[in-house]
Order: sequence, then structure tokens, then C-alpha cells
Amino acid sequence: MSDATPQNEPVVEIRNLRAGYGEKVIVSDVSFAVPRGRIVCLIGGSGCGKSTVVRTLTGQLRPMAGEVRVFGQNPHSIDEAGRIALLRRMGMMFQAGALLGSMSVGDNIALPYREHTQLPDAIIRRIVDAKLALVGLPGTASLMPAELSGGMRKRASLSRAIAMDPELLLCDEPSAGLDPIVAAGIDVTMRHLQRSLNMTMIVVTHELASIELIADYVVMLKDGKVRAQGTVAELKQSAIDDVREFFARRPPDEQIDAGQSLLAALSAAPSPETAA
Amino acid sequence: MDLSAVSSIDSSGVAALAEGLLLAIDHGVRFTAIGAEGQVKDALLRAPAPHAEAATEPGPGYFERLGGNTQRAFAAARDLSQLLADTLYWGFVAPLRGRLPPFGKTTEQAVRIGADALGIVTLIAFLLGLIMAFQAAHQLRQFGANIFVANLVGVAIVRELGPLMTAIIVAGRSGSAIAAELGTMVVGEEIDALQTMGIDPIRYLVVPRVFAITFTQPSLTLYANAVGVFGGFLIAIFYLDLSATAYINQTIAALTLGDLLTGLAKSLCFAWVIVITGCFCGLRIKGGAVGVGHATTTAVVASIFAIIVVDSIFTTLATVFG
Repeated sequence: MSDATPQNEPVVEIRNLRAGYGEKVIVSDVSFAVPRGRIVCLIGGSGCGKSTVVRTLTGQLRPMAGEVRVFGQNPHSIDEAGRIALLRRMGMMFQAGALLGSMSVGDNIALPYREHTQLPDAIIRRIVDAKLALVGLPGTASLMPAELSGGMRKRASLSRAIAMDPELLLCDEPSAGLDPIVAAGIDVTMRHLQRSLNMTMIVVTHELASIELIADYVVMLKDGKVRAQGTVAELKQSAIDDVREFFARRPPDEQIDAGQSLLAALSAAPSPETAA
Repeated sequence: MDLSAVSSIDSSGVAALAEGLLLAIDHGVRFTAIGAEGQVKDALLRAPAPHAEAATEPGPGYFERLGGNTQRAFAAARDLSQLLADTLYWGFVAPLRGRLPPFGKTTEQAVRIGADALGIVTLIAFLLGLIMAFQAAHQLRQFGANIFVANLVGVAIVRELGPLMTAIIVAGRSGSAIAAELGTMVVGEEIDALQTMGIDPIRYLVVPRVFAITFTQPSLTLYANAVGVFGGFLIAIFYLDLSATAYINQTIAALTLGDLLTGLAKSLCFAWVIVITGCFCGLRIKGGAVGVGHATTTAVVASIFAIIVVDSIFTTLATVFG
């Protein structure tokens, strides 16, 4: 299957993407490409459209304009069988885990195998055990998702995302809301997967520590557009102030301008005529 | 105002000063504060200068609201037809092409919708038969027509009350459960997860429920009919002193195959109303936990309403066409 895409062709190509929900446009013009075997971090503030871009790649959200190509194919213009074949080459890890609450962790990971293959159950169980061990959760197959902690749930979700050995892994905030050690553990696992299986990854994140650890390339979105893209080293030297500041861990200045403060208003209260 | 003697100020103090400034401006009075130092100065520096609240924009007018509601109704109708079309495709067309719905899920749902409802259906159908027989006996005894209690209970339960009460119980138990379950899955991105795994949520979640209820609803209805008639039977024997044989013979004579089939046909329609309403409300959910609650309530209210509408259509057609 992987032969369909030449090694030098990008795994994901996004050109002038415009997408949103209903009439609301979230991303207005986004273009970037992801070469095979690289980890690309998609970063930016809340609501800038990171997850929206990812949803267009899985075929869940149809672009309003522009084009997305995954393994050279447009997920929005292929038939059902083609789309399923395309999705089998991709894995997606969700922000909150999105494990099916009605079945055990093991059954969650086995689900794509049971749905798409004829493998005997004994083999599927071996695969499940191997995938859980790979993300540091051995022996948890029989637990229900509700019995797992937040970090374990994310790991289980990662394990389900890589269940079918995808060539492309999409991760929505894999380390958000976790303590730094658990978060670093997930990052290291992802790096390991990328190295050992030559997996291509798009990681939506805003954790600077993660970006520095895993990103080969960074695409920074702002207001629905690509604000900057390049390697971490390049973006640290960026000519754009807010890009540089993001990497310098400098929080934006939220102070109220002294001229607009209550103190200023009280010191020189306008005369009634000017206020009116 | 001289603040030089004020050593510290809290949020309410700052808010009071801001409000005082606004009031002063409103009344054309000049209001200044001097001598703020230390924490007081810092607090006032961090607080924004107050602005008179802008006049709130008028809400949408009558026609704007009417237009908005019409648009929403059309969108809902479009989504419902899409759900029906997808369900028909994955339920009846795709299996012909070798894409079978998950069998295990169907039996699991059949147990939850059907077998688990047996207790409450038994209780309600039995009491219904009992009540019907009591009410009928009271009137018919005056004319010495006790035996016709069998006709009344038999026909009313088999044609009307058996299918209707079972449907209302299932709508309350399973319609709400379906909406809440699917709604929670939408909120938890589980539906998205299924899609990204190449699993169609309609095939995996909706079709097994449709198949399960298609089988369980007529079965539950048949069972409710039997239990209801048995309730009437007990009253006839112990309260009206009718003989068991006479009551059974009278019931069999009063009922036709048409009565039974009409009841079962109704139960099938009710079943589809319940399952499609539940799935529709669950999958369309917006807005977290509040949305789940709202969808669950809507599913139950809408399906009971639709059940009554379908029932009245059946009754009208049966009356007109005999």
C-alpha cells in the first residue's frame, strides 16, 4: 500500500485551505506540506484552527476552498472503499482520549482489527498486548476507560491510534493537561515510534517542551492563517516578534495601558462636558 | 477624594471607586482621587477605567426569529432524512454487498431494549389488564353482561393498549438511553474516533439498535398482550365469578387475526419511531452535559408524541377502511 506514494512525495499536502463550521470560517488560508518520516508540530493559540486543519485530513470536515491531499489522494473526493483504505493508513489520537466507554481498553485497541480484518482473536489479543506495552501500559487490556487516569487514557488512545501500524499519525494535543513527567513520557514514545517505524506525524500542541523535544518542523497558525513555519531553530530567530516571543517563553503582556487605567481616569477625571 | 490615608484596597473598594466615577460623570460632577500610594496605587493602575455600558442591541425582530426557526427546522429535516437514508443503506443495501452490521452489537442491544424491559412491561401490562377488567366489570355487571369483560379487555389490549403502553415504556427506557448514550459519545469525540478508524457510526451504532428493536418491540408487545389479558382473566375469575373456560373462549371469539396483526404492525412503527428519534436526538447533540440532558428529554417527549400521532393515523385508517 505504501508503495502508492513515492518516498520523496509529501505524505500530506495542504494548499490554500479554507475551512470552518456552518458559515463560520476558522482557517482562511493555510498551506504546508509534511514530508515522509517527519514530525510536524501544528501550534498556535486556542481557536486558531489547529484541530480544524486536522479534521479536514481525516475527511470529517469538508474544506470550503483549497485542497488537502493525503498520500496523494483527496480524502473528500474518493469513494467509501477508497476512504476506508486511506483511513487505514492513518491513526488519530484525540485530545481527551475518545476511547469508547462501553468497551475495555483492549477491545478499543482491537476494534479496527475486528472491523477491518479477518485475523483470529488470539492474534488480535497478542497485537493489543504488544501495542499497550509499546506505550507503557502493559496489563491494562481488561480495564475499562473510566478506570484509567488522564495520562493513561491518552496513552491508551495513542496505542489505539497506532494499532493498525499507520504510516501517518495525527495527534491532537497529546500532552496537554498532563504533569511534565507523564507528558515527556508520551513525547519520548512518539519520537521512538517515528524513529522505529518511520511514521509521519502531525502533532497539534502548544506545549513548548514537547515542541522542542519532538518537532522536526513547526507550523504556527494565527487567526486562521500560517503565521510562520520552519524548524524550531529557525523560528527562534524569526523576524516576527510574537513568534520569537513564543519560543522565548515570554508571556504576552496583559497589563492594562497606564493611560487606560482607573488611576488615570481618577487623577484627571474628565469634566462633564468632555465626557458627554 | 484623598486616598493618602488608605493603606490597602480590595476589589470591592476599586469597584466602588469606578462606580463613583461613572455616577459623577452622569451627574455632571467632577470626581478625582489623589494621594494613592503603594498597594492602592497598584490596584487602581491594574483596574480598567470604567465606561458607561453601551446600549444593548435590540434582539432579533419577529420576522428574523421566524426566518431563523424555519432555517433550523429545514436543517433538522435534512439531517433526519440523511440519517434515514444512511440507516436504510447500511441496514439493507450494504449487507447485500457483504458489509454486515456488527452481529454482537445487535444481540447486546436486543437484550438491553427487550429482555431487560420484561419486568416493567409485565408489571404495567398486568395492572392495565386488571384496571380495564375492573372498570368494565363495574359497568357491565349492571346489565348482567359480565362475560363481555373478556371482549373489552381482549380487544382493547391487543389492538390498542398493549402496543401503545409497551411503546411508551420502551420510549422512556430505551429511547432516552439511546439518546444519552450517543450524545455522550458525540461529546467525548467517540463518534469522531470511529470515523477516523474507518468505521461508519451509522452502521456500527444505529443499525444494530434498529435491528434489535425491530425484533424486540413486536415480541414485547405480544408478551404484554398475553400478560394484560391474563390480568383481566384473574379479575373475571375471582371478582366476577366467571369460569376460566368461558372467559378464554369468549376472548378467542372476540379477537380476530386482524386485531393481532394491526397491533403488531403498530408496534413495528412505534419501534422505528423510538429508535430513529433517539438516535437523531443523540447524534445531533451540541454543548456538553447540558446538551445530553436536553437531547434525552427531547427524545422521550418527541417519540411519545410521534407514537400517539402514528397511533391516531392507524386508528383513523382502520376505521375508514374497516
